[in-house]
Amino acid sequence: MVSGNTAMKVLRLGLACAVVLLPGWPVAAAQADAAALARPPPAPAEPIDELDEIVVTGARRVRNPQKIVDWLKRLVGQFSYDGYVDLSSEGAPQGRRAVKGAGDCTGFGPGPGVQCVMKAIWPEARGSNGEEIPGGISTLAPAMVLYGLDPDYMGIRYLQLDNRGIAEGGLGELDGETLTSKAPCATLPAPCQRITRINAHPDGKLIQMQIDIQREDQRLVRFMFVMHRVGPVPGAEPAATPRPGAPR
Amino acid sequence: MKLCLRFHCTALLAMGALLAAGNAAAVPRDPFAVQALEPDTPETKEARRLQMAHDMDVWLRRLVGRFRIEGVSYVDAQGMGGAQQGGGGSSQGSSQGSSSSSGASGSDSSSSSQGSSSGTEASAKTVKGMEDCIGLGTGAGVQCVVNVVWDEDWGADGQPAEAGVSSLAPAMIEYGFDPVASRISYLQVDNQSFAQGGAGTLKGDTLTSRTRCVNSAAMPPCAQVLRIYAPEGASYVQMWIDTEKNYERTSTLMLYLRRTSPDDKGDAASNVKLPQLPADQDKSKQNQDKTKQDPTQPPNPQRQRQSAPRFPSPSFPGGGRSRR
Repeated sequence: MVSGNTAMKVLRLGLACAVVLLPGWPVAAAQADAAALARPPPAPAEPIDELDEIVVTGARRVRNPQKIVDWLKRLVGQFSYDGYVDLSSEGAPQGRRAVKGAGDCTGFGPGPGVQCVMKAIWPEARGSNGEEIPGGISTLAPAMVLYGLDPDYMGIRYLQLDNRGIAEGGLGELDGETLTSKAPCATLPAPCQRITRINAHPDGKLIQMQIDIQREDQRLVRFMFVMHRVGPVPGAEPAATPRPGAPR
Repeated sequence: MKLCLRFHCTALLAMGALLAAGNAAAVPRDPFAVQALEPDTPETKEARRLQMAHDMDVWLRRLVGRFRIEGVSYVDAQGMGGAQQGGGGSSQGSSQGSSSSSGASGSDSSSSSQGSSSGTEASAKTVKGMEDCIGLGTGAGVQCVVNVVWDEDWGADGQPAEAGVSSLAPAMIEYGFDPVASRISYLQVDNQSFAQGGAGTLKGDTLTSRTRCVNSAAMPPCAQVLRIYAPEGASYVQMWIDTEKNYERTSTLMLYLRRTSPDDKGDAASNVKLPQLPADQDKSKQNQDKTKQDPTQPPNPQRQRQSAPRFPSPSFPGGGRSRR
């Protein structure tokens, strides 16, 4: 317990400090403004079109199984692929290779579990000595991905098989509309991390899949696939079409 | 004289033998010299890793094809589910395979009760089904559709009994390998859309994997041990799926997968309809036009197969039921 006398003493001390320090504040502010004017103007900021991992976020992890199931349903259907593969760690535009492709995802069971077949290609890239570099040659033509619900961790477990038979998968957590998963690389020795982020828009028409291969916090390659739905969104009501002969 | 000579000769021989023994004793003998292994160098490690990758690639391709499944589901509440395996979990040779196959085909009744070695009652049910596995591209990745059923067993509270209802009717499984960890990864999504997967190690012709049971958060410690035996050149694959609760085996699903015919490999592989790029679609259109132009050309069997349903619904001679 703090007595009333002690509280009063603390209040007086605080007031005294304020009286002593406040006259200096405008001076310090003026000095800071002068320094800012003396500095050369900052270079215009480069356009940011991608977001790296969000460290602080207000979004909460989705643990509601129904919401996870609803998100899974957005993956079902046929999609056309575009996007790019960024082979330069600095993100220079010349290191980007345009992606084209297609995918077909089938749902099964009540969940649903989702099984996808995809085919994505981009212009081949090799190292200076002709050696293979991570992401330089597409191994996703074709590839398969299987998604299912993990009721114990309230997440989505998946496994991707590429055309060499190499399996990469993990457990993803849903934050808002984005599934995020981190797993060790299957083709590169540790310390290497594969970070997958899949953003499925609520309208079901667009899915963005971003896969980063990182080694010691340095990005080696980024796969950015933008998947556009072909055909109607499953579950959405079909547009009314006038029947021939029907009164208008 | 002769006696003297013989004595000298004997003495010389004895001295020679002693010297030889002395020399031998002077050199220290390392009992581990023969068994000493060469130290692991990066080259030997890499060679071993590549060998493992090759072995996994070869083994995975044995899973591809169409299989008819017969088997037995053992359940024992007292953790004696695997007592009938005859030899325990470590031996998975052909003797166990023959016992499982005879056990499966020998009992025509859909449900039977067999006494275990300890005298406890263990229920056994005949299992039937189909599996269709395809290879992905030219690699070793395998994707399987499985449909396994047995007579359902429901408790008085309306909940399924221990291993009473098949969750593999249908289910999808993917197998691939992790070349860095030298393991085979798999993921199974069952008919409730629950995903269960893990990574297993390949020893000889047998893959062994141990994972947590799915949807077991409220249960006592529960693990599922999967073993797949796929020998080279054989027309069958065997699977054992043990469920362990509180570190005791409570149920075992033994599956004997018999390859229906070698041609089914091609049928199964063509069941997956790969998405086509615009360039591919143009090519296929051109091919279709060519076929239309030449009516004398025989029908392409490959194209006929591609029009087959993607997930063929297996028919069971016993008419198994499954709860969907």
